[in-house]
Amino acid sequence: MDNEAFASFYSRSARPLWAYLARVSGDHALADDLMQESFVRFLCAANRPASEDGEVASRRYLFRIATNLLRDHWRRPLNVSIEEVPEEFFSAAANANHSDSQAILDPAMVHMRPRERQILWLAHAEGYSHKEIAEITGLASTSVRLLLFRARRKIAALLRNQGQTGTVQHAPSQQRSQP
Amino acid sequence: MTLRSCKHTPEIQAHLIAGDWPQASSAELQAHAAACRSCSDLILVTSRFQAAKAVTLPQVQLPPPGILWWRAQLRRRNVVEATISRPLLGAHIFALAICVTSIAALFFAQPDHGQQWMMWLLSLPQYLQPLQISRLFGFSTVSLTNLDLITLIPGIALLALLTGVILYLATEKQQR
Repeated sequence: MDNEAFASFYSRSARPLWAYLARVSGDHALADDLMQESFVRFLCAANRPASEDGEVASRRYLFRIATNLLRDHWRRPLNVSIEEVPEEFFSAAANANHSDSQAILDPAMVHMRPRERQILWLAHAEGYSHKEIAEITGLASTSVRLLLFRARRKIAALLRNQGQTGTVQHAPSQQRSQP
Repeated sequence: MTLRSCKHTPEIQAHLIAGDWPQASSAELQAHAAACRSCSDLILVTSRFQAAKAVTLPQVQLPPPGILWWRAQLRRRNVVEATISRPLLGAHIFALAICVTSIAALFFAQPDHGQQWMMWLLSLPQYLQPLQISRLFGFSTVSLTNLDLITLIPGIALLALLTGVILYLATEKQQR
């Protein structure tokens, strides 16, 4: 990929990638850093998809790099699995930087696990299929289907609750289950 | 919680991805979506995520792509340098070890010549005086038969060089 081809790919992929990182992490500064690092790693990667594979494959590969960077970031400070990162870890950052645009989704998103946020965003904002999400996240396709179904049901209940009360409260049936 | 998928979900999903829900859908499908929990969840969640994406995209201040391009080039160059310098360092150490071993072996294998060479080496400083340079290779004080020393030094140097090259090539092959 030469400089011009990269500039073209970057202009089409950078904003969706940043939106993914910002919404999943709840931290815009972190999203800035990880987005840049994702592109640098993408360019340095020897086994990235060739130009003949098309931009879709390249973009999927880019999201995979970003997902791995997010996972590494979450694992580093707490030294725990991504599944064990508490939802409250992200709440402070999200609340501190609250704005109208974030009010659309963030009050419900802070109650979701990081893995659930990733899968929900990839499926409903980016429109990826179960198979593509499995490729990006490294999960099995069947696991993605089940996780997505549960996460969608959970966030839908939170969004309905948010619509009724103006604030998000955990419904008894939607309490976070322990891993 | 059991996983029950509705048969209308793919159709609704296609409309949502295309961005033409509910305009392009039939009244029956809309009526079904209102009654079906799975489909209504899908519509609610997808519409919220699409709206969130739409307002998030303009928020970012993107750095110029050229900066990232050159950062990647720099990182790639550093990786290549590190890849090359690692086996070269090993080759240098190995070549030095071969040199030292060869010289020591020669000194021990040929004690008579070894003593002469040692004397010649010890008397080197006086040959290095400006006016006596020409005597350096005259070997007037040290009797070297068959010019052993003159062939020995380039021989060892060549051996060391070849060893380094072979070791480097072998390491390169392994890495591939």
